[in-house]
Amino acid sequence: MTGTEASVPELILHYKNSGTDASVPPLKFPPPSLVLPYMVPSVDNPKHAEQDFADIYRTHYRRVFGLCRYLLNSADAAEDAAHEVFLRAHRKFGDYDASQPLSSWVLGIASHYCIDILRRRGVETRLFVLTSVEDVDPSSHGLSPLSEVLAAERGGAVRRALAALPDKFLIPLVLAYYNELGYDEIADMLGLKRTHVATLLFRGKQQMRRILSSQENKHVSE
Amino acid sequence: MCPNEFTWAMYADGELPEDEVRQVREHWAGCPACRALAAALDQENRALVLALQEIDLVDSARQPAVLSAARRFVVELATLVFGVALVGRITLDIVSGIALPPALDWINPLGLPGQLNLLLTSIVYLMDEGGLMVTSIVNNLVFVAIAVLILFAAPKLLRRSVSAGVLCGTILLLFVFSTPSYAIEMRSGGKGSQAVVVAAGETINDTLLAGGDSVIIEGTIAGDLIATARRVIIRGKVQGDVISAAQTIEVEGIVEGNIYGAAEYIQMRGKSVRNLYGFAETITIDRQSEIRENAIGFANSITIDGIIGRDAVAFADTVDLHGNIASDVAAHAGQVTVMAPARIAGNLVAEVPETENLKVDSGAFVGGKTDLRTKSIRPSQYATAWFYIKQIIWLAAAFITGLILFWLFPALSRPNLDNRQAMLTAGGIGFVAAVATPVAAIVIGITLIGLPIALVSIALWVLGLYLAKIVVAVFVGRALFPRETTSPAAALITGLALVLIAINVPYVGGLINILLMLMGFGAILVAFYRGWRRQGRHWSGVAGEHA
Repeated sequence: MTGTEASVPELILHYKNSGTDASVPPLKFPPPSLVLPYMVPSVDNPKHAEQDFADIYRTHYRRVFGLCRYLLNSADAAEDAAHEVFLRAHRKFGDYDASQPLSSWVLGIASHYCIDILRRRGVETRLFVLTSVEDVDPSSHGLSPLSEVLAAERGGAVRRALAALPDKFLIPLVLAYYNELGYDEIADMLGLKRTHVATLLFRGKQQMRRILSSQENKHVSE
Repeated sequence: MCPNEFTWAMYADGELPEDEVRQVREHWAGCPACRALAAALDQENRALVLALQEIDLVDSARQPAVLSAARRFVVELATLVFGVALVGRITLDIVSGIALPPALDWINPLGLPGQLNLLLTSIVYLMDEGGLMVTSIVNNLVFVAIAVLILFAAPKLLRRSVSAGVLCGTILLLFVFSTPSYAIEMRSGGKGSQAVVVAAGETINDTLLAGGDSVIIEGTIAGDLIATARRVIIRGKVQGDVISAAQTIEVEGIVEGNIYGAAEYIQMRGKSVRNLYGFAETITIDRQSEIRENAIGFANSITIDGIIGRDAVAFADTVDLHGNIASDVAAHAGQVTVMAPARIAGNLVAEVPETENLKVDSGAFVGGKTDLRTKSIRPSQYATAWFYIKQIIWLAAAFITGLILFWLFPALSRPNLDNRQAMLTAGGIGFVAAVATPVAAIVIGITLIGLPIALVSIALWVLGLYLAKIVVAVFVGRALFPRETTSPAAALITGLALVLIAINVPYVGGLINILLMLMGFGAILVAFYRGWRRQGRHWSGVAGEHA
């Protein structure tokens, strides 16, 4: 086969080969019938646009997958979500504003998508309500910062502690320290007040310290 | 006074308002305690960022958090299943405790005859309404398929050469159009008084597939007759078998093959049927009727006045024998009556509740032995060794099947029952699929074109229901052994043992069995759906390999 039709299978082969990192699944969408309408208009040669996108996919898959996994707490769901996120990113690529870092843009799509999923799980209205114990009472003394535990290359322990947190703490923590968003951006995304976000982050970290130190004690006593 | 920790945390996050920043900075300079706190918070933030962003795709696939959550849900699963089973069982007991007079038992949806009746009424309804619908769907599908084929094939073929394209296209069309017309004749009458009638003197050289309000055969059918209608009446001659589901089946003519009938009433008046397999509320074999070989009936009441060439086997509430049976009679019934002109050349085996439920008239003749078996109160199943042997066999078989299953489909070894919603979803999907599949298969199967699909889906349905508990078992086992080091086999056998115990719990075990089966069936379907969806998302990649 020659001529213009040939470009579609070639593109697909191109996707397949794009994932040189074995742990990143090869990019296998969109279906050929969808490729042409989505080609980014700003780039003259559609093939180049696709090449760019394959690069974006390869570079950002891990970040997106990681975010989805933290938020959705399941590798299976995260894999599905990451695919969907890149599908959306591909579709909206024309809207991308080059003044913003690309990673923030893709992570933004991913955050919105995951939070939508969490909302649809039906806990939305009460998701971020604080109980009286957790309410803003900054003077109550929690545990001191566990910098030494965190610094001691115990990323696995931290991630497990994170996974054990309720969603209301987990989501802001992930947005703040994984996506590295500011309080205002998080507040926007979750539809909360800025002070509410600050409290959730503060309480979330305190809970994490509690979980980590109890793990630590267990570890020591064993 | 020192700023509190909350303020310092905001400061570390770089989110403190401008004026406050100035204040805390001034304080920071003069307070070693606060300096230490601020430094620690800052370090914590940086460590948190590092810890979070260090993602290992392989490590994360292990999902330790989800598995520990799963352990919690095993308790929830057990509570849910036991609770629903207990409530269900008590409700059933209360409902079925309202005793119906035996004469009305066939209406009771909880009794076997009632269910049979319900099924038949539904089938008849589906035949009236659904049969035509399915036929038209099949017709439409054929046309759509042709259109799609032409649409896709024509440009490709035309690119080669026009003549080749036309030739291939014509052959393709001929092929497609000729398939539905193989040796089958289909007839359907509409609703109301319209009936499918094969008139006297008319001969159909094929198998006849007939549906409608009534199907009346007065002529001859050289092949089989497959008929579903409110009434099926055979006065003529059928040279093959008769397969029929109807409200009433009346046979007055000759059937050279067998009759497989499911109906409310099956009435045999005709001569010369080879075997009769009847499922009905009432089966009557009249005096002038003759069954050349065996009569096997499952019914509420069975009356045999005619001649049976070999054995008669009856599972029924009441069995009345007046006829002539050339060999043995086996009756499993509530009441067996053998009246005067009756003649049984072989043995009479009657399994009845009490001795007085078998009445043999003094004028009746039994050539062989009369074997009366009363249903003695069975010893508790748990007291017999056979029960435990059976369970061990089941366990071993399920274990081996499970290992093969998870080797073939690793995804099934991680069924998604991780939370209450997933469990209920799986249960719901399982219930719908378990109920709808056979109904759909029957409807599709009746069109005969869809018969292979129907048979395959029934086979998959049976297989799925068998595998369902194994899938639930592996979920339970994995949740109890969340560590990756546990071998899957150990998890499977533990889970199977627990499931086995659960389904043999007295009183509620039966319902637990059903619930687990439905849940597992649903989980299997969900797993396959997910797999298929991912496959679908990857299909262009697969296509790319072929290109």
